[in-house]
Amino acid sequence: MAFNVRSHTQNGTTVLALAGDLDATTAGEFQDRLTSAVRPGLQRLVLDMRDLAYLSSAGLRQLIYARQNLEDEVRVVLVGTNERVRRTIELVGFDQSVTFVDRMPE
Amino acid sequence: MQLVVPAVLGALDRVNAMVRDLAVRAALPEWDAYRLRLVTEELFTNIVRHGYRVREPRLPSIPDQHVVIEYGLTDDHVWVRLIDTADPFDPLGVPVGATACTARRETIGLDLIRRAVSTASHEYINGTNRTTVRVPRGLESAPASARHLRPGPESSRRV
Repeated sequence: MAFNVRSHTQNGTTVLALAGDLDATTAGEFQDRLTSAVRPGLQRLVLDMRDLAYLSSAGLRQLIYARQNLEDEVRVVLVGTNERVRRTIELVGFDQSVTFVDRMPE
Repeated sequence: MQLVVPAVLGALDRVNAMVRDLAVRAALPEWDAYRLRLVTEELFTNIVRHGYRVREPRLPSIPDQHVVIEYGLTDDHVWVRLIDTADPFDPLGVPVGATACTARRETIGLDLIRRAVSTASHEYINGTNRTTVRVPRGLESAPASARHLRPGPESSRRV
């Protein structure tokens, strides 16, 4: 499934909406968008994963890198992850570094 | 059964298609099919990027640099074996980080392999790396999470 990412920033929150398969061939595009999103003044990074079907280690690596480069007080929120994506994140313990929610936060 | 693909990331689609077909034939539960894809992708990209050191998805393949993927199913399990002629490397021999905080970003994929499947092995025979993963059929086994780590699978290596 083709990968697609859309982003917007408002009031210190950047939202990245991910769709499709995030694998080794698409992680570069995700990295570019993620790097652009990590800016001074960012308070919250929201990753809308409701349409993300697949997450490989290549995408996970970018997420971990982004988390490590954010200030500790910046929250990383994952929205609507499917069970398989969530289990993948849990396998490497990254679930302890992010917040899972079912719906888009206000 | 066997699939031979050039050692480029652009061949990942063919690898994924093979895994998808195998999972359907084996009637694997959703999570088992998913984790078989996870580990196969990780092993394949590891061979391409680090074994053969190809970093660009669309670079033309170099002659004789290819990955052979053998696969099949038995009554009990599904198996996939990736074979390459790169330098000897055991992807199961790298220490597993306790959590994502301690795991090195570079080895997160290797961590994932060992946590996603319960049976995997590596051999170096006649100048080839041969890494095999197996996923049981008929039950959806719960893999280890980082909070409930089990020892990694045995890694056999003959160098």
